[in-house]
Amino acid sequence: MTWLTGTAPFPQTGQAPTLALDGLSIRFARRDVPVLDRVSLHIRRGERVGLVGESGCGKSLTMLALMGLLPSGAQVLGGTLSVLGQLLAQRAWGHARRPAPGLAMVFQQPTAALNPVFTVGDQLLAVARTQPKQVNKAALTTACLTVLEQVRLSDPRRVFSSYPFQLSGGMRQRVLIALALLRKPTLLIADEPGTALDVTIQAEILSLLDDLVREEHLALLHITHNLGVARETTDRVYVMYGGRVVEHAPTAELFRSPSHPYTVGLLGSIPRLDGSGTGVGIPGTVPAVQGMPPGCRFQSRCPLAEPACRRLEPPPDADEAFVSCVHPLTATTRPGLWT
Amino acid sequence: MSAPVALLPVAASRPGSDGWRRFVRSPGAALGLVIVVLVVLAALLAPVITPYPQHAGPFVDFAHASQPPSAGHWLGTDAVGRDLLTRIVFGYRTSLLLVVVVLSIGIPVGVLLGLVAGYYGGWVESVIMRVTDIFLALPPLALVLAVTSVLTPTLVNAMIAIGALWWTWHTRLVHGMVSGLKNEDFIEAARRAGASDAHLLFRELLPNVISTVAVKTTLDAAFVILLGSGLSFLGLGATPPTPDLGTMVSEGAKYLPGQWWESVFPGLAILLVSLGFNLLGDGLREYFDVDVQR
Amino acid sequence: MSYSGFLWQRLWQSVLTLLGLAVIMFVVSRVIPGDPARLSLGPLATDSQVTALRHDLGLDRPLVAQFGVYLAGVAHGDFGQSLVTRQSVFSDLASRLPATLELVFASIFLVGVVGVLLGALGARYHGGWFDALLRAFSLLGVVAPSFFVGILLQLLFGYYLNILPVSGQLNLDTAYSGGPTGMALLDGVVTGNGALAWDALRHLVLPAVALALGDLGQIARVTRANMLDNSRKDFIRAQRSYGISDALMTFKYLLRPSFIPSLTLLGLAFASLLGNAFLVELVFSWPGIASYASNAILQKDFNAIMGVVLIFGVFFVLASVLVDLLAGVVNPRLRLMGQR
Repeated sequence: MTWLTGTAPFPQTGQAPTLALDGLSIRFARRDVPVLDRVSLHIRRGERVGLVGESGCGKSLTMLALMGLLPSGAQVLGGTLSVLGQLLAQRAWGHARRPAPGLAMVFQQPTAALNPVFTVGDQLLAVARTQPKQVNKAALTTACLTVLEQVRLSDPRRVFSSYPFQLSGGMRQRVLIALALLRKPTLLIADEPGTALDVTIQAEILSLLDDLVREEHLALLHITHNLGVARETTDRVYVMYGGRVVEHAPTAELFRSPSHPYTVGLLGSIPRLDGSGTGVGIPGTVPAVQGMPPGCRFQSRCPLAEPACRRLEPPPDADEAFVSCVHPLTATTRPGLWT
Repeated sequence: MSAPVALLPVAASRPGSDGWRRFVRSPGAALGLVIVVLVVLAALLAPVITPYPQHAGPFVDFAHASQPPSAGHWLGTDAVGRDLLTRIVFGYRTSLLLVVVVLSIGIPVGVLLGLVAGYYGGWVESVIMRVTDIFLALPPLALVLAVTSVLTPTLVNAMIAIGALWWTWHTRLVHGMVSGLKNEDFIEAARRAGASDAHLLFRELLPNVISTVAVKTTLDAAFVILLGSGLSFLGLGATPPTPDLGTMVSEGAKYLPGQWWESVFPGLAILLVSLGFNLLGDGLREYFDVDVQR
Repeated sequence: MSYSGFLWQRLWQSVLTLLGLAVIMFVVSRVIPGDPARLSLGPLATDSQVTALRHDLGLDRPLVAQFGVYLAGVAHGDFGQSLVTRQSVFSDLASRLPATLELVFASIFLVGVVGVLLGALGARYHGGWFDALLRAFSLLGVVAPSFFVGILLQLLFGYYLNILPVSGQLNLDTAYSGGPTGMALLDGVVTGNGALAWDALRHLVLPAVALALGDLGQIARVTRANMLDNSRKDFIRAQRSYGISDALMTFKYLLRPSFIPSLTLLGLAFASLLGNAFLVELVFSWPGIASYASNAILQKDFNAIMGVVLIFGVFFVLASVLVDLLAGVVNPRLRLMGQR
């Protein structure tokens, strides 16, 4: 069973979410155990939602499924996706090879994600042309320059006529954001934005994303493994482990009083300046998908594991805050868990 | 014959059992190996396995001239009555001899020069690479034609002409690889341990380049055969009555389309051995995991 | 160094190369045994006749002087006189070169355009039957000697199917004066002479295909391989994620970065095309410089041989420089930041 944490429901619950992913399950061909198990995410305009987890937890696969970029070996077992209240047919996402309208993604590696032999302008125009309102080239160019200004590039014309190798890493990352903005998205998915850059540049990029969310009233799905970044840049967080969402809470609350043993271990392991924090990771490693027990996937490493955990189902409602655990931690039980 | 092979030199890795599996799993490579082995065996055993070995020398029999394939002559006879199958097998001897001579001159010289140029650097490198560049800049066929034309057109001269050029590609390839490798740690370590130059050249650097050279050599063999048959087609190859596949095609072409077998079968024979070396070369590339741009 | 600086250096190297080629040729030709004068006059000539001709031809002067005279002549377009045809080598070459060029250009078109196209299609539909067929076809092109391909094409399309002519540049009864360029197809198109153009095209098809097949196969293979490699790269996934159409992706955004390595191959292909043109011309009785050169070689006609070799050298060198130029056009990094 899943415990609701008792927090008030989120604001604007009355409206249809910008993005509603419900019950997404994916397996790779010929494997019995699904590598994603009934993952659900709801995101609304103006919200910055984090999807947090270590490598292999399934956050990238979830992102690929949303964008229609699933590899051919991945099989969608179930799940529905609605954008702005409209239910999308299965062929419009998953393996569609192009994203549904309204969704756009900012790629991770600014160097690798831009075509090296075309100018930035060429690449922007190519995206601009895919938008339904076909106009003449001058208007398209203006649209591209506008979007370059939006990402705070100081000399849009110069960037427009440059090749990627002529720009710095930070500028390239801004170009990637601009390319996503040209799709006039309602939801922006940012895949580890700025991790390939200097910390100071990364901070600028994250601040830019914040501003864009506010100015354009976007919904933002921020995928990261970096808890520090998640803390600064999100309003609420879904924590994933082993292909399932294990905890969902407003950011401040998650970091103040995490309830899932995994989250507690993750946060506790970060060394802190005041001497708290173990600096040691959670014992054990993430088992292969085949080795996952039925029910809660964290059982094999959890000190509180008990038979009831084998019957745990993923949470039914992505809107409410919850902890997917048989015995969520409280202020009294939390401190001694991982020592 | 298409353009000679251009290679991107990359430090070769030890293949291991994984490489062998890759090799065998690709049907092309296995087929190539089979073809090459069969052709080499046939050429070596030519006098023993062919039905009319005396047709490989001066022999005429106009009564049986230009006969289509039959039980007595599986591939038919040529314009002067010689068995085509026999002459093709002996023709393989000529082709393979050309390959052996050209490559055994060209490759050791080329590899040695490349090792020396890459390792010593300085003026030695400059001189060697300048000369190599000049030779590489000259159009190969033009040079070969020119040289064979001013010497008498025999097979020996054709070999000399081709061999005189072959080292250049290997020199450039090996030089490129060694220049990169000589700064690696294992060379430094060996040098500090007091290894002599000769040891470094032949015991450390050479084994690292050998697999790339081996792949290129196999692909070269195919190219030499095509080049050689082209020259003999033009009349610059082996002197009659020595059986030579290119000459046979050229002679047989006079009798198209009626006696098509006289030119088609020798042509197919050239295609077959070229296919074999190409497939084998591709397979070796997989086996050694070398980045060879064809 | 800068890109334009690089190009100038290449041009300069080309001149040196040609000079080196001329020197080598000249030295080799004058050093071998055999007396060109005697060969020209025949075995019945008297000694004094031979000596007289030697003097006329300047063969009794020192080697360096001979070379100097030759170079001066070349600068004026005088390649000397052919021992065989007794005409100026220059005019011999001028009358026969266009036909060879027509054949080579047609082949380059096939190699560069059709080859790349097939490679792109093979990458687009990779794993399917088209791809397998393409790869087999490419392999066959690479391993088959071009003269043999020519013969097979003659047999199939000429003799058995009888839909295409097997020899010559034009039908014997087609009126053609040698036109503005000497390239029959081009002349037919330029002067609006449909019948000429059609006849020229029909005659051009088989030899051009025979000549192009090997390098066409190679370019197709390499382009396909590069495109498959690049299709896994992030920028391709990213561009797809922006909703750009499949067709545009394949033929523009995936093709251009994949095409650059093929350019070097195209340059090498040109060299091999020049060489193979010899063989194909002979098979198809094409009135180019091949038969002229073959004759010259067998008759030891040195001036003619020199002329042919130098012409070859010029084209080869031009092609190399052109390839470097094209590399800059297609690869912006090279053009803007110079040679790495």
